[in-house]
This record gives sequence, C-alpha cells and structure tokens, in this order.
Amino acid sequence: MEQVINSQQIKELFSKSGDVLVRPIKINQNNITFHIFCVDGLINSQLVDQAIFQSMLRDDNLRHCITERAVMDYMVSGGAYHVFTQEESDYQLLLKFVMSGMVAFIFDGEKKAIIFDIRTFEKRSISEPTEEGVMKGAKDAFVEVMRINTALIRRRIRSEFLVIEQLSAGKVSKTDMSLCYISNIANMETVNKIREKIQAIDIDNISTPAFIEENLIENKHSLFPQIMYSQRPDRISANLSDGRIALVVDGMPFVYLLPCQLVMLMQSPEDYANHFLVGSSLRTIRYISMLITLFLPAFYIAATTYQNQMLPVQLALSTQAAKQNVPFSSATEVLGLLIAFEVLIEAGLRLPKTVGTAMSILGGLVVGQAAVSANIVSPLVVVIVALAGISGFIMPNQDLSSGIRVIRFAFAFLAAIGGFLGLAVGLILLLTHLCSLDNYGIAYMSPFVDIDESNHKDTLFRFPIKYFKKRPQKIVPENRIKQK
Amino acid sequence: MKKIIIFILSILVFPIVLGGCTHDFSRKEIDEIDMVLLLGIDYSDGQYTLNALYSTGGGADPEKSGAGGEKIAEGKGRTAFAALEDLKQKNKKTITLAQTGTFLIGEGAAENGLGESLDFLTREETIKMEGLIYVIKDKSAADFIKEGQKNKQTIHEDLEAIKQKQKEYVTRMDNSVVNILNDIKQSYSSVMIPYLLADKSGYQIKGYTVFDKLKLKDYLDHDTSSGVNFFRNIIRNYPVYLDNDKVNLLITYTNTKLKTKVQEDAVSVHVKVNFETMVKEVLTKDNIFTTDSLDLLTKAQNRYIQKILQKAVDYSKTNGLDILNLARLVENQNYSKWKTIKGNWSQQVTNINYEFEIHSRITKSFILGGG
Repeated sequence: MEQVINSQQIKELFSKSGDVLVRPIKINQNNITFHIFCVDGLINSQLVDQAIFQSMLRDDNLRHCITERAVMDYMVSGGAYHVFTQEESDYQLLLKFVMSGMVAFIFDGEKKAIIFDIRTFEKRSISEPTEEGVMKGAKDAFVEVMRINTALIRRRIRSEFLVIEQLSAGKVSKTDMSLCYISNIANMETVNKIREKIQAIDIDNISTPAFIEENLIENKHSLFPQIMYSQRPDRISANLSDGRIALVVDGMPFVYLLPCQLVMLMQSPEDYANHFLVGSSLRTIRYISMLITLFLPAFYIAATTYQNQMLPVQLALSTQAAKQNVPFSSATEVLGLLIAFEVLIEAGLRLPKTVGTAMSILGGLVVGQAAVSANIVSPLVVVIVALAGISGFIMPNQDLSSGIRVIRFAFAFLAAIGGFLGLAVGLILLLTHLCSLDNYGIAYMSPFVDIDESNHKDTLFRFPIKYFKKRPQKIVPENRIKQK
Repeated sequence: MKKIIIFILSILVFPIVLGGCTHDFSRKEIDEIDMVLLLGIDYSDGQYTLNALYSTGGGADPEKSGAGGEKIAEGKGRTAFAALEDLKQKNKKTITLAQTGTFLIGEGAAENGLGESLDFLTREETIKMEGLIYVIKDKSAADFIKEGQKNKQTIHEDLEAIKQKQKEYVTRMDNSVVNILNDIKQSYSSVMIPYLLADKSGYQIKGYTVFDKLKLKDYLDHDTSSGVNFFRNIIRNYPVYLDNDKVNLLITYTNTKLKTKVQEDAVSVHVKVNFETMVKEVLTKDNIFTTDSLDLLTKAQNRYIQKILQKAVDYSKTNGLDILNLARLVENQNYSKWKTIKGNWSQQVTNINYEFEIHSRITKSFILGGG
C-alpha cells in the first residue's frame, strides 16, 4: 500500500475499529473539506470543539483561504489556537501521533495533515509511593503517564542542562520513552550506549518491565538486578545529579536508573531523611539482614548436620532437644519450610486482600503451629525460616529481594551437601560472580572495589552530607565536584 | 546454556571433591549424636577409664527440662584413646567431643602422667580448645561424677558455674585445653592445673595441682596458688585480710611485671607489682581515712601481698620446680645466656634471686568519714 496521507486509505485501514474516527469536516466560509482523524477516548473532544472548531466557525479570515494549502498555512500560523500544532507529511508518524492520542486534520489534496496535541485519557493521579514510602520526605510517586513523570523530574531539576530525550520502542506498541540525563554531568559514552540499546530493541510490544530490563542489562543470567527502578522523583533526581541516567517509560509507574551498582540497591530514601547516624544504623541493619536471609537457613543446616561444634553448648542442646522427635533431616525441614514460605507469599499475592490476610494467618500461624505440635518441623526451624524470610523483605529493592530469595535456596542446598564447606564454596562462587559483573563499564561491586576513598562515604555507612563532595568517580569521570 | 550447565555442575562437584580434605563428610544429624559435655579421665590397674557425661535431651526448653537429664557412658582401655573407642562402641548413638566444655583428670591419671592421659585430645580435630581441664583431688573423676549424680547435681551446669566464679577472680583462665596442651609440649616449667574439691553443697577450686615432668607432684594451698596467679598477672579480684583484722580490702587492679637477668649463670628476677584496693570492711571506730592511716594501710597491704608472693617463691625454690613459668621469660629476655643455663634449669630454679618492688594505693573508699 502506498504510504501517502489520504483520508480514504486511513478510513479503510481502521474500518473495523470502532474507536477510530475519520470524518469529513466542511469549512463553510470557503467550501473546503478536510477530514478529522482521531481516537475516541484519547482526545479531549470538548477542547477540540472549543479551541478549534468554534474558532474556525466564526473566523472570517478563512473566507480568503481558497486552497487547502492556504487553509493549512493559516491554521499552523495561528488560525487554530493550540500550543502544540504541527504540519505532518510522514504517514507513519501521523499514525503514531494519532494512536498516541493526538488529533489530525487530513488535507487529501495536499497529502498532508495538521496535528493538534489535545490528548486526554483516564490516568491515575499522583499518589504516595507504595514501595519506597518514607515518614519524612516527599510523598509523590511516579504514575503511568510518561509526560507527568518527566514533569515531576523537571520540577526538581530546573537546570537547563537536564535533557529529556524522546525515544520510542516496540514495533506494535510504539511505546514512548524519555532518556533523562544532565548533559554537563553525565558520561555521554554511557548515554550513547543506553540510547543505542533502546534503539536496538526489536520487539512487538513493551508491555511489562522485563521487556525493557532484559534489553538494557549486560549480564542476563545474573539474579542480581543490574537496573534500578524507583517510584520516587526525588530519588531519581538525586541520582541524575550524581551523573546517572534515567529512563522514563510510558505506562510504567516507576523510572529506571542506570548504571546500577549493588550499593544503590541497599540505599533507601529514609537514610537521607534522618540523622546520618540513624541512616547509617538502618543501612547496617539492612546489610546484616541480607546476610541473615542469605546464610541463616544454610548455617542452620550446616551446623546441625555437619559441624555442630559451631553452636554454643546451650544452643546445641536446645536445638538437639527441639529436633529430637522430628522425622526429617534438618535440610529437608529447612528447604521444605522455605518452599512453604514462598508458596504463602505467592498465594498472598494472587488472592484478594481480605482473603489474603486470612490465609496468612491460617498458613503462617495455624498450620505452622500445628506442624510444630505434630513434630513435623522443629520450632527452631520455624523461627529460622521466618527470620530469614522477614529479613529478605527489608531490602529496599524488591528485585534484589527476589534474587536473594532464590540464592538462599542454593546456599541451603549447598550446606545440605557439604556443610560449611559447601557454604564456603557457594560464598566463593557468589563473590566471584558479583565481582565479575559489569554495568556499562562500571563494576557492579563499585565503590567497594574502588580505591578512591571519596566513593566510600555512602556505602555501608552514610556519612554526613558535608562529606559528599565528589560524584562517583567511575560514573562521572569529569565534573566530579558536588560541593566545596 | 553450556556456561550455566558448567556453573551448576561446578556447584555440585566442588563440595564433593573438596570433601576429601576432611577424613569424611561427618554428616550426622544433631539429634543422632550424644554431645559429651564433660569427660572424666581415670587410670588405675594399668587401664584407662573414660566417663562421658551427656545430656539426654530437654536442652534449654524449660518444658522439657524435667524429662531431660544427664547420662554417663563409660569406656575402658589400655590407653585413653582405646578407652574412648570403647566408649564410642558401647554407646547407642555416635559420641562427639565437639561440645565438651570440661575435662576432669582423676588423681590416678594425673599420677600416671598428663602426656599419656591427654595425648588423644591433641589429635581430635573437633575438640573445643577453650574447654577447661581440672584435676580431681584425692579421688577419681568417675567417683567425682557419680557422687555429683547421687547428690542430684546437674554436674555440667555446676562446673559452668565454677567457670564463671573463676572468671570473677582471674582475668585469664590458663587451664584451657589449648594452654595445657601447649604447656605439656614445653618441658622446663611445671604444668599447673587447678584442682577441684567436691562436697554436698557443690564444687570449689582451692588451688593448683603441680606437675613434675607431667606427673602429679603436689597440690598447692590457696595462698601459694594466689602467689602463682600474681606472678602470672591474672588477678582480677583478691581479698586482703590485714593482720589486725580491723580493715579488710579487695584488690580491684593488679599489674605484675617480671624482669629477668642472667649474670654468670645466676638468674635474678625483679618482680614489680602494682595494685589498687578498695576498703571493704572497717571494724574500728578510728578514722582510717587520714593520710597517716592510709599510708599505714598501704604498707600493710604491700606486706600482705609480698608474703603471698614469697610463699609461691619458697615452694618453687624448695622443690626446684618452675611453677612461676619463668623458663620462657628467661629464654625470651636472655636468649643467648639461656642456652648455657637451660641444661640445669631445675637446679637454677632453686637458686633464683627474687627482688620485690610492690606499689599500691587505696581507691574508692565510698565512706569518707570514720569507720
């Protein structure tokens, strides 16, 4: 089919779509007919009537525009008042604009159209972040509309150097994206790399986060998240100022951040909302929790099956007493309960909220208590699995939490095979893997592996703000000074 | 995909291959093991007897503790190791010494020699190095344990209490497995192990057992043992009962420095003791907190401590036994001369010249007025 702007052709193309409107409009003043082309539900029809049609109806100047070209020129130059008015001759672009909610006036004779951005659609209003809530701090979170999200970022960074680049991906979905960075801070090599990766996405539909994430991360097999997301505009803007690059995707209520390091995933906005000692303490607890969730079940298996000398006498005795009538091995108990824990979480997610609560009580408390009473599991194992489970949810990043939950199984399995030896092997493999990860040229374990001490002031501990003098060296090779 | 398979295989294979580093995987569920909490070592009539005391369950669970208790298993053999193997074979469950916190050496085993009695411990890789070793005075370890059971004592808990009490008086416990095994290896100083006495009310440590060439030689009295502790610089608290019985004090801080000198094959030791005391009891109406009184008290307490130190020195010189662990010190401080005197060290011990320098002060009296 010829790719020319023509109302008849477009009408035929959308003949089976009831929501797409292609209708002739005659200008009475000069008897010229053009076609309006839009999607019902995506446009603000009231505004179309008021701002465009009513002004055209009373506009005597149109009487003097006797050709389509003249009408188009008049409209573009102010005949139809609207902020975003543009002439378009590219058929594909026209389709993209209209499908994203704009209104087009098609002039068949000229084979061109005038586009008006009079988009409106049902959207969620800005609300509190559900995952990254803070007691002290901003309460606004990103929504599913890209333009609102970019505005939330722009509101926080008023610098003229903030660039919001428009991109698009998805052959069918044609999903809009905005690549945001501060041009005088960000490393342009990284920006170019990310842009290239987005442009290289060759998929029909960007419907879920994985479609973007898996195309942007460098090591696809790793369980550790290599792209960070945040629901908080303040967090994104802070990271932009540190030289990182944000990606806003239309339809997703969060914004991606690249390059991503492990240390970022352990930071929470709360750390910066409190006194630095409080923030550091909270962060330390988070790191300890990560160790607990990763190693506690495995440690229990190793200590009760292989190296009981690792336990203090009283604990060894009470563990022995608690386990005496349980028919299963420690490994079976722990792995079984870990699976049961995951089942409970999955069930809780799928069920309606009210039923979910009841099921948690039934599953966690009633069945757990009954299992202990029936000597199916020992009480200590319940405590250990619960502690490991709860500790896992302390991670500020849910992707990291999920990854760690999976690795926890691997460690438990290794401990069941080789005790502390197996655990040591697992730890070596994990550290080797973490140290081998690279994210857009920056080590995943950075700044732990960096020599420059200025990078270490926001890692395990959060130093007072006055010490945050330089931007991360690996991310921003130049223009590193944040404050003097 | 190939990489993933290699990764998974390496995870599975690594522990199995590296498992060869230990003599076996020692895979045993904790409830399938009898954890020995106390091991008694005895020797009589040419054979060793080991008595292992272990918990029968209940653990720390108060609801179950009634049902739980202590059980004794006995093993006999020509050597201590043979006795341990016999014990393992006789016992229903596997026995582990990994949680053994106390080792009791009966008088017979102590007389027969520490080397023979404890050698098997040095080769046991799971042994708890911070476990404590005691000698049982005047009886066998088996009798000591059985009497405890007869008196319905929870023996391992009572011994734990003894350990805590020991910590109140000394800053370091030199009778740990690792220390004693080290002392056995070096041959110049006497091995010193605290001895335990039992009565119906419980256990107590009275002093040190002295070993000569790793065989039981003597039991030191309380004052001489305290003198040894001063020399070892491990005193945390120590009561000072002055002769006039009017003022009693408690040492809260001590620091002993020993400096040795070897001149013409004669060894001299300069003993410098600094300590602080608190007044704990005043049984006189006189004001003891005047400068003069405090000065007199200070001199009196110095004399008291010197007397204790002298007791330890006298024992050492009389018996030619290096109970003050000076051999290592002389070796360290006079390395070249040590080579010439080490051959007749026990002779040297009887001739060592001791110089004492004692400083003390009375602190924190709490009562500022008269008694």
